[in-house]
Amino acid sequence: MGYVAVKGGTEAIHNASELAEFYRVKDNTTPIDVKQIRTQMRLAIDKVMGEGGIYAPEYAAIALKQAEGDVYEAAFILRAFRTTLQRNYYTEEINTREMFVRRKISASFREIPGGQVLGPTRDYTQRTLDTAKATETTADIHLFLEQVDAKIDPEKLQEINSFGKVIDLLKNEGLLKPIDPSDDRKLVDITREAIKFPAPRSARLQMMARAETGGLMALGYSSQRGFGGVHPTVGELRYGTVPLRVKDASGRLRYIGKIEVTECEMVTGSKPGKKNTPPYFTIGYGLCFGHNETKVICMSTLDSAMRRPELGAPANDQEFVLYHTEGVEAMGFTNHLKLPHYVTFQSILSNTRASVERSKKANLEAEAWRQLASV
Amino acid sequence: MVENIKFSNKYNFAFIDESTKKEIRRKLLKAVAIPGHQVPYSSPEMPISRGWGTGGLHITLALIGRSDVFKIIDQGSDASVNACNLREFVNAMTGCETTFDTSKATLVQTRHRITEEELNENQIIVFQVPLPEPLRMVERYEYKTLQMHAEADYSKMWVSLYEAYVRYGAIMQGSGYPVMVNGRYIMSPSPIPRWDTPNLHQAKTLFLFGAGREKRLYAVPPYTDVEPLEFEDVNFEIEDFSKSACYKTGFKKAFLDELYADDGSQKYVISDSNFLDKIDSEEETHQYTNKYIDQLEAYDVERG
Amino acid sequence: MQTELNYDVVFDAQEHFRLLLDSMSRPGKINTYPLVDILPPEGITQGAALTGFALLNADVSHCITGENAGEIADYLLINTASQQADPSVADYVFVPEDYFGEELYGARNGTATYPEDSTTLIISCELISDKPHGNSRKFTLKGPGVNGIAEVYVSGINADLLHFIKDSNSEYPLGIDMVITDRYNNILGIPRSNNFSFSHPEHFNL
Repeated sequence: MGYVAVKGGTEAIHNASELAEFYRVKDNTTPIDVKQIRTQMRLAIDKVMGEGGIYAPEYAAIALKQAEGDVYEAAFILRAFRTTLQRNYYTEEINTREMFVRRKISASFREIPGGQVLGPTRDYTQRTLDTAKATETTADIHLFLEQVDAKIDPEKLQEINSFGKVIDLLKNEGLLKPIDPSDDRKLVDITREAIKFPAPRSARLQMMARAETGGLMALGYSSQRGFGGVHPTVGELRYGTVPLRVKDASGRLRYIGKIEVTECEMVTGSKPGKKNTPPYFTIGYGLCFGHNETKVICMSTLDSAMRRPELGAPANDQEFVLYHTEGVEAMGFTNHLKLPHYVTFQSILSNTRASVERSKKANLEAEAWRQLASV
Repeated sequence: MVENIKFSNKYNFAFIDESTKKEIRRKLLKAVAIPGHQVPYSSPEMPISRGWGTGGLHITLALIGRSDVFKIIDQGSDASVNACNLREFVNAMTGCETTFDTSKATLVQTRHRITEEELNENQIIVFQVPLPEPLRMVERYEYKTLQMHAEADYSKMWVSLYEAYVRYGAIMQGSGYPVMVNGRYIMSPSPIPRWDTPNLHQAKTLFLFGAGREKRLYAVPPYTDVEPLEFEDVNFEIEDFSKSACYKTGFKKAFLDELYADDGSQKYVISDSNFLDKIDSEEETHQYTNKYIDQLEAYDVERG
Repeated sequence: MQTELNYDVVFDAQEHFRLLLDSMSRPGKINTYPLVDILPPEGITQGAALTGFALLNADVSHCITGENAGEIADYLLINTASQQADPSVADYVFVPEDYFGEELYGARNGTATYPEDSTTLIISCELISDKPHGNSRKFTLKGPGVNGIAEVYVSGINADLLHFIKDSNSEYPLGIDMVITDRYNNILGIPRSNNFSFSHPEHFNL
């Protein structure tokens, strides 16, 4: 009787999970070290932390290992773990102006203060499959690292600087839309209360920071292609580390460490305002844990798009964007279709049978009338 | 209790932290005070997938104490795979006794069914709800459905039911048949079959509903009017099993599952696994009665 | 003032909540908190304090009306981390025996879309009983949770307070929910959905 055999369920699920574990290791290869995952699967880790909503690279690595590399599943495991942790402090807001920049580019200006810093990017490489990776050895890695080291001249190392922002240039020139005191500045915490619509911008950004990259990309892309088009230009995209601080019991700020974040400030034209107001620029904002440029680009695009509901496309619709890019929920619900639904199906079956029966009867009657009429 | 060894921190009793439990508890009291009204809540992630019973679990874990006896069913069955997983989770996190016996449970969690046996004053039943908003099928936007509930403006719903009638000759809603609670709110009773719907009306038991993914919880207190939506001339009907009988027991007056054997032949069996066991071993049972079941004369209460 | 050491924040809170839930689900039914070895300050009964312990934390605010408000608020803050707020903001308002004050007029009764966003009153009284007793009002309760009609006798509860609540609940689903506790740890829930009436206090010959 299949998978709801009476009294057999518990044994079946135990066997199924044991089998899943067996599939993870059945080829009897060397176990992957969590440290290796953490360092060599850097971008996967960053995705998992972002969607999991917790900055914990080592735990993300464990989750990825446990989930056999399924990023959705790993993010879900991490989210569930996150809820069991005590929240002891709220950090002060991070200031990305004091970011230790590893990468920083602007598409809107040729030169920007501090210059374009390409940093680690695969953007300008040929994406040919590098078959040499198949035989990479520890010695190869050592050699490569030594070569990199040799290129660095300690004499030439500059002092660590933080950089001003591209949007400051626009702001100083008076091209950004001034902040209206009536603008929505309400700060909510989406992990402590259910989101309510229309949602304040703080809730929208929080939802997107935890959203699934692919979902954000699909909708962000749709907006760029013309469905509710906002015309975005990357004002600045930066990736690096920012310091975190909390207030201790005596009210003093304490430095507690630093995290990696990626930030995007997307410049778009604003909604045509009242007569005689100039077409100011507005900034769409995106920020996420770790290094995930696709995510912040789409996040900032959607941040702008959602402020233009009158355009009427999916990307302009808060409820549509936020509910459907929430990866953990979307994955859970789409997969719940695998659960037995035979009672609900029985219910609709009985309706459909009765309806088909009624229709057959009606057709027979109509046919009888036609025959009578043609006699 | 399960210890999380890697991180060397113990999970709290009933997994959820006390602060979140309090939030759920406060919201539950409000839900009870406004029968049928959906109350938003924080709905923290659980180590169970969204859409797989997290809302039910939140309520169960906010309610459960050491002396509770816990039963969980899915499609009426104690042995359904997801129910087994959730049972083990609740048991591991609380150490509570679990049971298959409907009459022995103090706390029942369910997906898609109400037990065939009538629950009493000392029992609470918690429903897992996938889609709490009954108006979602006629209005996709939340801010609009909120407004419709606020104004008790349910005209769109009535039109939709009527259109189904005009097109198909019946209100085609299968499970999760929308109900009017306490004459004020239209509510989704979760995807229970129509067979179970009348049992919500003026019941002895407190019914609690949890929709984790949608972050809503709601309640039907005992002795509350719960009426399926219907027209004067087009009535609510329950599923008709009068032409079938449970192949194991010959019993007809219960919700039956339709089974197909390898050779394609069809048979029926009682959906509620505990009720089936009790009928099979001729134990005493106390079934729900309601006017819809009583109306169906074709039912042979005697065993076939 | 120090934290109550004999109160178990996990299991006492759970047990008391279940009683509260039962009371709110069955208006007219009298439940009783088991005695707990706590020492609330003057002006708040053990029953009201335990109700507060079961429901309050840092996420919600409370308001103490009547005498000795400062000390009671400190007591609740230390034990639950809930902060004091104005009656017009507070999620939970504690009302002492036989009390009504104009500040209660500000209590929230929710909004049309979120009627649950409203105040809960935790009201102290002298005695809740299923029998008439000295100076008790007879409450007749009707509505969800009540099988037909329920009757219960409460002494030490203010008529203006009850009129005010009936007024607040007249635009159901807007309204204010009540948890009434007496000197003996009995509790009675009257949600806004309940259509209750009450008599003048009568001196019954027992």
